[in-house]
Amino acid sequence: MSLNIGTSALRTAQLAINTIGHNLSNATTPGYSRQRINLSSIGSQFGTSSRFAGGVRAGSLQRLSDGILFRRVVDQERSVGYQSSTLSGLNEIESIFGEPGSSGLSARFNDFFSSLSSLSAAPDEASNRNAVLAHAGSLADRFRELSGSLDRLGSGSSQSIRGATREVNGIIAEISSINQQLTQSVGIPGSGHDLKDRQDLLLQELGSYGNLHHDRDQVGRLRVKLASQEVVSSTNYKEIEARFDVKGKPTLHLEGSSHRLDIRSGRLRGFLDSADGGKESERRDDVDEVAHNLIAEFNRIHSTGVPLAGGFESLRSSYALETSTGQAPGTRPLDELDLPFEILDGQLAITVIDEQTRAVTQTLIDVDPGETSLNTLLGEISAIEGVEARLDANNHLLIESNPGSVFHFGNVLDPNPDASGVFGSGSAVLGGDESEPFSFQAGDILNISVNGGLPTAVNLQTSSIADLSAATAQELADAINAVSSGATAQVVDGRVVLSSDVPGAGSTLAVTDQSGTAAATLGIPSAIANGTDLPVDVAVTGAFEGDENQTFTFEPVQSGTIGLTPGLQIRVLDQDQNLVSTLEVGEDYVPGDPIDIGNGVEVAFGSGEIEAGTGRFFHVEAVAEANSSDILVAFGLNSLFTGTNAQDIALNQDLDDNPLLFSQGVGTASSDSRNVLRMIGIREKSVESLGDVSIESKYDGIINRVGQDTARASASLETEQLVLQGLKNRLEEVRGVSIDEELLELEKFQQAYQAAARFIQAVNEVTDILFQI
Amino acid sequence: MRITQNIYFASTQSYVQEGLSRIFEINRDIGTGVRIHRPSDDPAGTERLLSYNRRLSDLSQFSANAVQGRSFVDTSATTLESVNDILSSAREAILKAKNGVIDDSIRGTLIDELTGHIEDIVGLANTRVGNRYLYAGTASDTQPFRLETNSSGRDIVRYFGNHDRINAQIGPNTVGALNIPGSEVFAAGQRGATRYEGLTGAAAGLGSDNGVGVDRLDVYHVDTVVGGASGLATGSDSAALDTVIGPLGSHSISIQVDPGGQSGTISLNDGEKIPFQNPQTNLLLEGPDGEVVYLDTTGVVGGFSGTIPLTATGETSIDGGATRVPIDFSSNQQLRDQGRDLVLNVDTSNIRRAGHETVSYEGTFDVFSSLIAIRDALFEAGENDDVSNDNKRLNDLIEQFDQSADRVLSALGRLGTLSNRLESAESRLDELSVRLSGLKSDVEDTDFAVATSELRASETSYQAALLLTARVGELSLLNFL
Repeated sequence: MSLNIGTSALRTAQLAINTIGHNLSNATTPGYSRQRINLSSIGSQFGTSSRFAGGVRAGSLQRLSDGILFRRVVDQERSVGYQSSTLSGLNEIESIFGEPGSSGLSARFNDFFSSLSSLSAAPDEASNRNAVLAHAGSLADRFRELSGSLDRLGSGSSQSIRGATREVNGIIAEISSINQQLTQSVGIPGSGHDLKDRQDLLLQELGSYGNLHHDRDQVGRLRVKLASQEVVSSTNYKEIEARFDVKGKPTLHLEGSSHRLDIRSGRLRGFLDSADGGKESERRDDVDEVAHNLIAEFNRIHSTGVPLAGGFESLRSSYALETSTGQAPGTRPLDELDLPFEILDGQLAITVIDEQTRAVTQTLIDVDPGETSLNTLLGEISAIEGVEARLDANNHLLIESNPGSVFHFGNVLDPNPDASGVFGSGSAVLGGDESEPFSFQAGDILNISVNGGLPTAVNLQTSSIADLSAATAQELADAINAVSSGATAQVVDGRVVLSSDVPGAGSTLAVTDQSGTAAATLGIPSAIANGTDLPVDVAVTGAFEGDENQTFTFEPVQSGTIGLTPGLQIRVLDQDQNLVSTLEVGEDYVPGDPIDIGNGVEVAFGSGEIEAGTGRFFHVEAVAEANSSDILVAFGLNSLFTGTNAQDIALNQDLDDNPLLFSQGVGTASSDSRNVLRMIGIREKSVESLGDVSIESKYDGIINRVGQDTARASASLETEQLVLQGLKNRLEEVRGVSIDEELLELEKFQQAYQAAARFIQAVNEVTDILFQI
Repeated sequence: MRITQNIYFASTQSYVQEGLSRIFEINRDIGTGVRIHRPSDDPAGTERLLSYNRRLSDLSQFSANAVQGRSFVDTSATTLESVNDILSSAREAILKAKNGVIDDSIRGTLIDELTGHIEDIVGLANTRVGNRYLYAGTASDTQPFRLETNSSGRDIVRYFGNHDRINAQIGPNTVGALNIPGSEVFAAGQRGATRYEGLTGAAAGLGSDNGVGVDRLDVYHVDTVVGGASGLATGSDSAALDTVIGPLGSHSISIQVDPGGQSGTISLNDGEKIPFQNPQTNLLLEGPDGEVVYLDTTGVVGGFSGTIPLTATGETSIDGGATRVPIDFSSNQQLRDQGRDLVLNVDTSNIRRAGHETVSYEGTFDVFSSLIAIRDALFEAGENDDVSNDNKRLNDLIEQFDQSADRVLSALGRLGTLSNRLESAESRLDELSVRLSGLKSDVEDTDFAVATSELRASETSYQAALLLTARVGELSLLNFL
């Protein structure tokens, strides 16, 4: 009996030593939980009468772990997984921007503006101009590169999701296969511990991917739910899969299930965020916004400059003029066109230059995006002498000049504002003071008498004038010109002006009413007008610097000879009929000397005779903003950059092909760099649509965001990792193997074994003594 | 607390790793001298850094513009110095011609010399640097000055540039002019009176003239009508060669005919009485001021004695005779040359002789027109013998020349100012740049003192961690069993 006690002690000690050996050998195995043999004493086998105890029994093999702590570790793995996948994406974004450094966009901006500045100092150097274009091109290239890289990063996340799904599925399968082994080892005490360790380890890994829930059934098989969906049951498992919609956006599903997995955290969430847009698409939008505004600002200025070539023979809009609804664009108002930039209620000035005579005609076209249709606009442009506008086969606007003319959208003053000769021709001139519409009575007849001859009657009737009560000046002029009276009528600003066909001192002109009061309605004076032998040439120079469009009217105060008649004056009125200035053109005026009338406009009068009071005047149309409708930007006419955002911004190919089309001046002088100086001004300009910061400041802000996102994610990851490390340490405290501890245990059981052996020896000796008896 | 070897080694591993990465970071900061390598190193700092970079890039470009611009301005100034030298030698030549009594050959040499000087100055005024004409304003691809002959047959230098300046950006909101347009360098002064030098009797009218330099007014005789009942008529060359011009009575002939009508004496404007013997169909009669009329005396009435008024019409022209305007003897007759947009207001009321007037517009001389005028005056002085009048005219022209030369000098001074402005911009920009670099360095650069001491501290703690690892690693119960 006693021998049995000894044997039990020996066997138990051996078992314990085995366990210690197992612990020691697995001291560094990841996820290993130390095991302990539970010992219990064997009580008396002979009922209450016996006084003998029964030895020791090796009980169950216990796995030391802490389920609650483990759950927290798994949860924390998820947070760390999420942060680290976010951070790796952000790190890549940061690298893509390449700031601060020579590969970043800011360096391209600096190069571009430097080249512009350099061009301002030597505007006639072709190499400088080419440098500007080259740097503009590489700025655009860098934008596209940046946008493309960010784009690829997004699609890279889709790749990452596929990879992560495979890994998750691998883990799920392995957990499930261990479940099967666990089933087989049911009933074998202690046999499942190492399998569970392995599962825990896998679970920890799985935990980093998404929100998990797990428990074990009675026999210890692990059941796992990923995002509330069971992926591992006691006996089976389901894989997850990534599905991509048409735009390539991924969603996660259980295999064969339409139900979407609601992954809230972890690595998978990180990848989903990235693929969903996430930070890189935010940044891409930011960069798009910067590029969009850059295009608008530069094109706005470039389009209203004048190219060195002097003008264009043909220009094609960079954007197609189409409606988003697919309707024919021609009849639709302009604001229904699908354009990247807005058209404003304003004007467009087109300047046509006759290359032979150098005559300049600037025409202002009113643009109301809600009203003006594309066809109206095309018609109005085509109505200008020298240019034709139409849509090409691809619905791009095409403006072409007639041979011998060129055009541009620059801000110029008509150098010869008196082309009609109303002010300074030698003809006898009578002008109306009143503007259209005119209200006549049926039966009104005008008499026109030239050189004192017999009057020619002009009948104002409905055959020539559609609405007698609201006749236009053009209708009236047409009616007058339909009869041959020796005088010609023209329309100047809604007023009717008549001039004798033959100039000279002998020519006279009188307009009277035969019946009715038509002359008074037109505001034509009853006096007889005289022609002159000395016509006056008017020349306008300079560039208008005013803030808003202005029409200056010039009219003589008295009659006399320029540069001769004492006290001779010409009055300048603005469009509200306010006196702007009175020009002294009398005896002290040197004919041909420019007179400054303010706002950069200068007028010179040749010698000759001017006459007051007979409707002699001329207008100077001063345009402050040649493109106040912004239509050039919206259509992409004479652009520096084509495209609409960072993905497609590019240097206008036309400029690349022919650098002479670069609009560096506001005039055509080869060293005129005034438009370049305006472009340089963009650098400091606060752009309203960017929140009143400059384009580059906006970009700097984006870089700040990029940096902050990364820095914040990096700090979060560090914190989460610290927490994880702490939790892992605490779990390790419970389940980890301490070699010293195990050694002490070993010592303890070694001694126990020795003691048991000694006990058996003692029992043996006692028994021997007994046998010797 | 139960510490296992795993916990211990995992922790030490992370300490060592941390220490090493800290040292690596500090090393990188010290090695590169920069502490911001990526935006996340200091997001706000990066933003500031980018804006400093931008401004520094601007400043360096402004400075480059100023340097480049200054070389351009200085080249312009050097050219003007050469112009100035030529003007000085031209002046010497002029004085030589004016002072000494010189013969025609020396005069010819001097005229040639002046012509050479004029051409040289035009050449210098057309100086090009690269593709750029220095004195063409912003029309720098246009040859600005051309020597031409105008419609009245005079040499003239015309300007084809414009009046604009090339403005280079030399500051955030500052531009600096790099040129003075040729129209300002070789500029005329304030317009003064118009002067007529000639004997026709034409004088300045009332209005303002717009000619420049020296011009020529031609006065032609057209027709002479002899009034009265003396029987005197105009001679056969009268229309072609008479020089008298004037309304009725402004010229008169005194004639005394012998009773037979075969001879007599005759005088023009109380001039020398000359006898005549008929038949005289083309008698030349000269007045006291050199005016000339040709007469036919064959029909004179015998015994006639008295004064006969003449009426002589004339024409004027300011384009060398191409366009002729009848003289209306008014206090202001406006003459125009449409081709040149030229207006000349002439008081024609006292025109009494055909001939030509040298019209000079005081104050409107530039160096070209004054030199050309002087040269032409010298040439003309060789043709006639009126020395005192020639000298007076020359003196006037020299005064105009000196004034125009002064304007070249003042342009030279202004170029100096431009150059100084660019230079001071340069140094101001450099200064700004240094200051901005300082600010940038505050943001971007590694603070070496701090970094080095941090490095020392990190090294120490890293070494301590290593030492501890080694020490504690030795500690094991195994060593004692």
